Amino acid sequence: MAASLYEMLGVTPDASPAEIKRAYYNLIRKHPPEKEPERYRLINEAWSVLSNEESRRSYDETSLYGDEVEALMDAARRAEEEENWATAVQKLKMALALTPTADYILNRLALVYAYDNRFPEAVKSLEKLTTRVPTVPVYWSNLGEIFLRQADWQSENGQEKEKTPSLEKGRAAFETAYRLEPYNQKHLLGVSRCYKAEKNYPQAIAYARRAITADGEVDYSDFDTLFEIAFLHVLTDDWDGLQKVVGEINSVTPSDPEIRGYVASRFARLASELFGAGGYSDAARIGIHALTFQDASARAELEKMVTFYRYVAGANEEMGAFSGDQRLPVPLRYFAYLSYMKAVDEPLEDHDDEFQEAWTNFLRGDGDHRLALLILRMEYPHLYWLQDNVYDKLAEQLKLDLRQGPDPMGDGFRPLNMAEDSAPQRTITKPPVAKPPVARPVTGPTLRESRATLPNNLTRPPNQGLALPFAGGVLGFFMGAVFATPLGGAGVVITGIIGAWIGVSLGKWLRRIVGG
Amino acid sequence: MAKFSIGMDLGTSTSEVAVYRNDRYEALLDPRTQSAIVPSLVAVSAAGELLVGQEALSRVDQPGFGVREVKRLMGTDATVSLRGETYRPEEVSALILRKLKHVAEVSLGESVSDVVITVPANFPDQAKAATHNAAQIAGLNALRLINEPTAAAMAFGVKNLEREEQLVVFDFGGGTLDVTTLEMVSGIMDVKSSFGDTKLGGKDFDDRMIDLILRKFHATGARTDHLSDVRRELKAFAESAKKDLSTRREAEISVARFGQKGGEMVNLEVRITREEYEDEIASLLDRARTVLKTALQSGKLRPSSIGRILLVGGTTYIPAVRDLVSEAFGKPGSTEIHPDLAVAYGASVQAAIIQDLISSETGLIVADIAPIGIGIDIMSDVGGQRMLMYEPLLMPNQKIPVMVERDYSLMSADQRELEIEILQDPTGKAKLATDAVKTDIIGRITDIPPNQSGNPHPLKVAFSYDLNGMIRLRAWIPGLDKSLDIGVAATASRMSDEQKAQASDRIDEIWKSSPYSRQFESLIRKGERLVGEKGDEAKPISESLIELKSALAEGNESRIETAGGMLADAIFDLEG
Ligand SMILES: Nc1ncnc2c1ncn2[C@@H]1O[C@H](COP(=O)(O)OP(=O)(O)OP(=O)(O)O)[C@@H](O)[C@H]1O
Ligand SMILES: [Mg+2]
Repeated sequence: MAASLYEMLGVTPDASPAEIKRAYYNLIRKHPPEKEPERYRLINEAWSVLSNEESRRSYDETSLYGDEVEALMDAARRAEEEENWATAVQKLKMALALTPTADYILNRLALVYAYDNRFPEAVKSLEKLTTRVPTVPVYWSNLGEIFLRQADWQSENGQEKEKTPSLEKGRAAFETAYRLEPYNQKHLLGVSRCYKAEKNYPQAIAYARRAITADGEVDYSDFDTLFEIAFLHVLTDDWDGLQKVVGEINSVTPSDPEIRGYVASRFARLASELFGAGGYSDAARIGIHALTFQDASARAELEKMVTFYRYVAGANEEMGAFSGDQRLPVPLRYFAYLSYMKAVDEPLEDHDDEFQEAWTNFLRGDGDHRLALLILRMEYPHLYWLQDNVYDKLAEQLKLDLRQGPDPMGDGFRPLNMAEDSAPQRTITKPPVAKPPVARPVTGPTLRESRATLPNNLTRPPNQGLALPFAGGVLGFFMGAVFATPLGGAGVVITGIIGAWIGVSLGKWLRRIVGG
Repeated sequence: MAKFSIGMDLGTSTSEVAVYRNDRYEALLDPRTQSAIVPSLVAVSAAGELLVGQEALSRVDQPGFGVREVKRLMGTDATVSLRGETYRPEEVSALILRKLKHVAEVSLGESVSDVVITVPANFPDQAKAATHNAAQIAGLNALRLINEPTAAAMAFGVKNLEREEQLVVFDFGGGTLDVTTLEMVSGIMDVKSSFGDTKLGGKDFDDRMIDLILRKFHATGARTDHLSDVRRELKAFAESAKKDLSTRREAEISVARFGQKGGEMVNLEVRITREEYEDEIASLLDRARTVLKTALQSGKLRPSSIGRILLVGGTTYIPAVRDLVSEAFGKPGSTEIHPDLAVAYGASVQAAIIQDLISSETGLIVADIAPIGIGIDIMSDVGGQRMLMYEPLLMPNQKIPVMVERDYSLMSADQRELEIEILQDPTGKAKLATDAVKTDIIGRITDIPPNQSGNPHPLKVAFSYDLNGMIRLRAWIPGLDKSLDIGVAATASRMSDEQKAQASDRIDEIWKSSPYSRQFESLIRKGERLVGEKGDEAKPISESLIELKSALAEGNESRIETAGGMLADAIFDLEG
């Protein structure tokens, strides 16, 4: 580093404010702007930092202990990478002891506490920080994140989170962040996530909607939020709402097949998760939406999956009437039932034998096989389809022509005008048979290129931040560092955060459906 | 070393020129009016003569023949028309500066070129560039542009070097209100903050007076048509009524055959009391109060810590304005430095500092600031969305000069072009690019080759703000021959050298039609006639004719004056 600011003013670091002031004016007299503009400029830079009590203190701390603090921060970072939270906490506390006013370290400490599920400490640190510097939005949103995580953690550990007041506080923190930064959609999404965690879905949707327009336009960069809204509509069984959002997603999704493929894969994955949770017709509906986005070349596999979901959804509905249908011999009913269970991947012990046994019993039993097959084909087409090659073979032997039966695909599932349908409820715990297509990375929204530059805070040398004459400059640099480490994962991109969050809460939501 | 230094206050309504010599400043008087106050008016007479200053007053409000308040147009693309010809605001301002140059040269008997010119603290960058150009067009060398309120404070400071106190300059002129806080310590004027309203001035007080007069006139049942013409016609009457009310309790306005009533032309006869007028201007006074409050906040000053409030500018003569100042500070404002002349005085002090007439060891030193924040727009990741953000490079009230260098990067490896616009942030609170004020000073880099490494190219930005308040911004991609260079100090100075030279010739041409130049025309004609008639006998005449013509061509007023006198003497000698 160049000469210290104190040297620039010709005083010692323990100089009193009055001494500094006197030195400043003497120096200006010696190096006036007219004669030595460059020297004069440097004197003023030093003065602007040292004349203000706050910026002087933070300069002192940084310049005195800068190297040590940096080393401690490095150590903390390594400990964090190894998820060695206790060490990270210790290092950060040591750094804070040296530079108690370094807001970014306190923020970091709060995040580490949160990763370690030490929520009271995390909250306390951030409350201290937001009291000290109430105008930095990221501290408020981090506070909100911590309340969210805490609620999550509590409910995973058996405490009902909608009853804990922390979500209300979380909302308030996000709201404050939003007031400070009304153009940052993340804060509104934070409020939305709190509401979602409180199972107040209508409010969650309302805030997510506001988030979309926070930057003044709805475009493909809002995809994640729109997708989240779609999901919230699924949670509330609001199929019209879902339909509308899918339409919106469609209209903002660019024609680039790779991007559309990605959107399709997101829907497909959601469908498969719903299927796994027993929401067969939901899975079918969402799967159909996935098809809207998939282009012809990669469509076949996805279509196969959706068709399967639709058959299972149909079969699931037929199941009720079917299992009590006295016109059909018990072994046939049992055989069809086993086939259904296999399709939804219910764990079956010795199922091969059981299949064999049921089928043989049916063939051996008396009663009209032709009639039974006919009823199965005509009234339970989806169940029929689940084992159609077995039934078809028998029909052929019996010289029975079943080709004129109802089309199992005539089930009313349409991409853009779906019939009303009640969601089936069954206890299923395993993931689905069909695998969704692998998600491809987004190529990224196209932006106005001539509006040029993205700040490269991380590559800005720290010295420069410190040498800036204004507290704002110093703060700006540290905030850059904070932004690069948002709570909720290493990813800077929001996709990562939402993705992880859906992943986490889906499990719980599945239990909700599954648990009835 | 110069023997004297010149400062000029190029105001919205009035302009002044002052000289600093022999350790003191004084205002220079217009030889015609013997007044130091030169109205900022330019007009053309029916005979095609150029009229500048007081003599333009009778013509200026005739549509198409005169220009008022051209300062408000400085830095814009607006043009004004004078007798069918269009002029840029720079050219009209150049005529006023030319007039001030003339005043100075006649009073000093020396030619004048190096001057300091003042500009409002919150003047936009383009307007500063335009002022610089106007000086050049007028044949002046602008040593420095300085902030008006700072200049006013210097006029006080140079006389009170020993004083240690906080002071406020309350500069309420024809077009703008500026409140500046300073601290004086051992002969140094440390400017802390400056805050203002660039659209609040005496002009608005005139408009309110016009409203009031018209309302009273219409209340008598009289009618007027073509409101804009009517208002224009009333302007001079309204301004003088406003001034009357500063010293009297009542003003009378009478204009012959101003409107109609019952199909007949009627005179306007209106009386206005000070109370009525104060009611009318209440909202303007409120705005002034708000500016004052904000200014004190941004200077982090409590009214009680202020030792002195300097009243500057013609609008501070209004008693209600003085009252609001005393109320805010608990003590009356001071007029110990002439409110109309303080700015010009201070400009001459600054010129004296630059020209070493004031010693830097013992004399006044000024640490001035940039009142408005300056930055650029950058694309930034905000909560997962890319947004155009305001990136400050200079905070409001930061000491000048300033130089910063920052590192950025392009958005993608294959970005082909970029654009940077210089933005202003008067309050220091802008976050989004749209919170800031556009300057239309824009630079581009195009045809950027894709970065083979797959990473976006880095971008370096260097910004400077010099003592003139001129900005310059350079940006370049290291390792590539790709850069941009913008700002008033660089390419965007609005007029090319050629344009300026043309304007300069044009101004010279018009200036020759001013009564001052024309007064020599008949003298020259007579002298030439005598030379033709008397031959060798008229040699002194032909010599002084040559001298006068070359002085006229040069535009050197003091030489013109001397040569004109010589010619007159020679003619007198020959004929007498
Ligand atoms: N006695 C007075 N009472 C009221 N107003 C006055 C008086 N004398 C001058 N003014 C007004 O003051 C204004 C001119 O003030 P001044 O000459 O200080 O402004 P300026 O320097 O031309 O403008 P600016 O500094 O805003 O560019 C005019 O509007 C004029 O009418
Ligand atoms: Mg003025």
